[in-house]
Amino acid sequence: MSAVDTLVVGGGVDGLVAALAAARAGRRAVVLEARSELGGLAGGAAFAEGYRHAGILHDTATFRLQVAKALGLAAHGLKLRPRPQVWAGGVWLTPEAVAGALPTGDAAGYRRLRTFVKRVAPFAAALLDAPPPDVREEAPLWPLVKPAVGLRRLGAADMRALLKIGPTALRDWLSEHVTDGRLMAALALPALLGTWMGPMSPSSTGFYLLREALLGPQEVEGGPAALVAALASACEKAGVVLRADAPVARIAVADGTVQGATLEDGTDLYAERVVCALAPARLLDLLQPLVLPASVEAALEHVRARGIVGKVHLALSAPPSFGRREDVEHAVLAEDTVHLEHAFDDAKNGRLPSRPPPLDVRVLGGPHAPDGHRVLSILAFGVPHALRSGWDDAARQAVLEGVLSALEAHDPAIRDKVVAREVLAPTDLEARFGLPGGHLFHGEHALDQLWSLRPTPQLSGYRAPIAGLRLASSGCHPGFGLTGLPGLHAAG
Amino acid sequence: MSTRWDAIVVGGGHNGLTTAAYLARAGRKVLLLERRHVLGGAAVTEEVFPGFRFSVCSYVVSLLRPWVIRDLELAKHGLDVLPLESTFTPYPDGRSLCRTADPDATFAEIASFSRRDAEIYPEFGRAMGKLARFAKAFIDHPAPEPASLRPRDLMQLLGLGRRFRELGDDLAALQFKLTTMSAVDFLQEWFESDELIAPMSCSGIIGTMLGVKSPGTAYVLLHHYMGEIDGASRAWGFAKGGNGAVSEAIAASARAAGATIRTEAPVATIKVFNGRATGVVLQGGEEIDAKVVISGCEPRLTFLGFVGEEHLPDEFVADLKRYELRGSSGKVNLALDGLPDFAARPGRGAHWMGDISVAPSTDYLETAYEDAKYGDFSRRTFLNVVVPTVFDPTMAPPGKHVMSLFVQYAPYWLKEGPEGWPARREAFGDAVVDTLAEYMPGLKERILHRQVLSPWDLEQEFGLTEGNIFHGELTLDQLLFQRPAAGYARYRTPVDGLWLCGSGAHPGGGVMAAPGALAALEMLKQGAV
Repeated sequence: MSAVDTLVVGGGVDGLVAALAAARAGRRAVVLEARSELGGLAGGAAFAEGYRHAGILHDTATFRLQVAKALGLAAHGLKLRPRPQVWAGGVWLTPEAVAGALPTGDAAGYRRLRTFVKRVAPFAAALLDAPPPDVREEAPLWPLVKPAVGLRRLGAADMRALLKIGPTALRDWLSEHVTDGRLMAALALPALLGTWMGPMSPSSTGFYLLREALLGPQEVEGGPAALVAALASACEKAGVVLRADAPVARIAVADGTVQGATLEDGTDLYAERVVCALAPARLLDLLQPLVLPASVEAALEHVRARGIVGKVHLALSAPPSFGRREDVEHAVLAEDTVHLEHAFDDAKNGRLPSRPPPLDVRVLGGPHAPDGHRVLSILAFGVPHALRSGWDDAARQAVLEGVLSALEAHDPAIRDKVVAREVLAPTDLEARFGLPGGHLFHGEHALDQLWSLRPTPQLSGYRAPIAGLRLASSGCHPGFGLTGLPGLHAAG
Repeated sequence: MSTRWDAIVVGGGHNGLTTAAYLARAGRKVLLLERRHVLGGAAVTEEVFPGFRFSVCSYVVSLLRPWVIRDLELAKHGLDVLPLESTFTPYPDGRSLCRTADPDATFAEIASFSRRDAEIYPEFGRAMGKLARFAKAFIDHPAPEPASLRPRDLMQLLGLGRRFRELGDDLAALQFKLTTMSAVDFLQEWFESDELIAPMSCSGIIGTMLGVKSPGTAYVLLHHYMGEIDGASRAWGFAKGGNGAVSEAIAASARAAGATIRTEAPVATIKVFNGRATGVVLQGGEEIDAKVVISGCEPRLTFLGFVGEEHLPDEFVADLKRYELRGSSGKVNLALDGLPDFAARPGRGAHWMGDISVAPSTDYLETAYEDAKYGDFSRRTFLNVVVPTVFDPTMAPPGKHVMSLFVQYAPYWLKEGPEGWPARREAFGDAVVDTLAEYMPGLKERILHRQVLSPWDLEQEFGLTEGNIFHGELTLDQLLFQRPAAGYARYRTPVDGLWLCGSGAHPGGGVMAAPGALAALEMLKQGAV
């Protein structure tokens, strides 16, 4: 096979973005995907006859518009639509609905909270959108000036507030504004999915604010699967070769320079650049030992990625009737922040959920299910990768039972509507998608695993200390799943 | 009263005394007012039971700043610190671990759990020692002020930035991790044996309402390595005569310099006129005026208790209300007929010559936290135990002993509220004694007297708001330029002429005497008094 410029290992969103960006810059790029379908955690798949889910990670509101623009995705069928309102088990997460349903104190508090979030979001988004500065010893200090100036620009009051609340526990901060348990929990849960924290953990507020900063007002119509389809179509148009069923066994390196990759079937592919779009820790398998400096290997081994989220897909013969409404598209269901904290405690201690778990639910119709039918795409919080009793079908069944009980509280008839189901424990996600620890974001969101430290200080610039080897994964800055940013930065 | 004082210090804890001593030595006329009959605040020795003297609250010396000891001539005024030589951890299965200053003995002890850990242990100590030297730049100077554009403040920030870079990449990353990670996650990057990680991790949770697996707890590990006595790095010590001896020595130094100290003089109000503190009113109605008032009390008590919201900016009041105190620890003091044996290591030896940690596993510690998180005291607690009479037999009648048990978790905020503590106090004491008795079977038969202090008791008796032993949690958002509130970390407050000098000010609690000394030095430098 002839040499190409760029090999991209892994056909998830960041891999496709990196390949497309490379191709648009005039490079010949090949994407190597181990599975038979592209898309990784964003790829849709049939889980029962006639029913498809739209991706394991089901939120696309974090996908950055500038990535879509830079890659011209609109021309390839990428359509955006307003993000659906979140239903929090009896109350909608809009200022108007909160005002109508909850005590006046909560309505005012919720408005205050949203106003603060909106005010600081541009600063946070600017930090997240730009590649992280190199903070190492020999690097110049000036790249740090810009974020520092941005922080000062917020004004003294907001700057102080941000520094004050960022490291605190989300429950404490939310309770300064609102009292309703469902509301607090629904605000908190999406931010916790990528962490190893409960709402009582210090610094969980910071991750709430960072995620909010990334959320656009719009999401991809058709969900992550549609995003993957648009990327794939754009890739093909741009001449990118997309190869499925092409698992990579080894990234070849000689004399500190990347040479290409070897597939598991023994095929050698040569390239002057390899973009690894898998979880960064996978480099430890893909590179020969000692190719990376020992300090980098050690740092990669220490990247914490303890999955605490399970994925459940339910095929329903009729729409769910959440609170007697059939128009709910996105529901975040948890009783209160103590419920979230208990779920975290269970997972932290390697136990199955002792109560029905908190859920982040997307309701899919249209192309995903037959007419009138629905698919529920459910992220269940507090389902540990490291289950002490070990994962087996009985444990999966217990998770399913918990999920159904949680849904039943809002739709008493839900069990009768279920015609098919799929339960993916974090270990299943690990096996299917090559995710260390079954972690959906390629590494926990934690203060020491952010920005210039994500995944490690030496690898944070989307480059490895090997000429031609780059990284494009949610395990790099800024994390948070389907942003497209690591792919774009890695190709740049 | 006709005397015009330069300064009134409210509260005779070790920090208040330190401020008084520094100001008196600078020639100022200083009056210190203490509510109780005895000086020292939470650094106090009291004869709780006839013949048995206890360091009632704080019980070891580790971070007392050497320069304060020198400046105030504390050795001359009676301070004698005896080194604590070991840290001992018994496990329920009959094994135990004793770490001492003897590297070979410690290697063998740790190697019985993990040889790899034993080899890494000294290397870890060296890395932490380097970081501790970096961190000392923070605790020995006023807090940096990132919001300030004054050249002096910018220079300080720049200097700290430069020092940070000089640590080198590896240590700088380590420092960042230390500030943000959980104690357990941090230690697991170094060690594999949970038996070693557990007792090491618990220095990260002392005084906080967090668990060993909560982010941010690794930072306090460093305090352990910052501990020093007269320059001998990384040693814990026990003050001869108990921790009250520290306060007594500082008080003696203050008196020798001319300070006036009054006990049983409880302050009711700090007088504010036209936005300026003018003096205090005692509970009996006596009014005393001074050019400045300095409070060694906890900030929320100082401002919301003594000053009043009406004299304070709204933003500052909001910060005070947000200031987390949440006491999480209690204290049990036992008078013993004699020393019982550890099941895991009978007889006397090095393992009695230091502190004893009941911290058998990280899961045990985390479970103890989970009990507290939901509003109950731990059924099985983390304990840090010292037996002062091993070092200083004068603390008890001949042949008898006193034992000090620092207990976590005892949350101030019980499910039923803090006022539920009097009814739960003895049950809590029983849980503590039962916990230790599992490792020390003969304990219960040896107990002559027992004093149980819940966080509610600490608040009632010692004025520690919510029973917080550090006058406010030592979490990232309440340290440095944010202690106690952004913009007021340099001991100055929104009220002119009112200053802070207690553990609620930078650099925080731990019997350092640093807030007291730095506050006085800052006031003198600013010409405030």
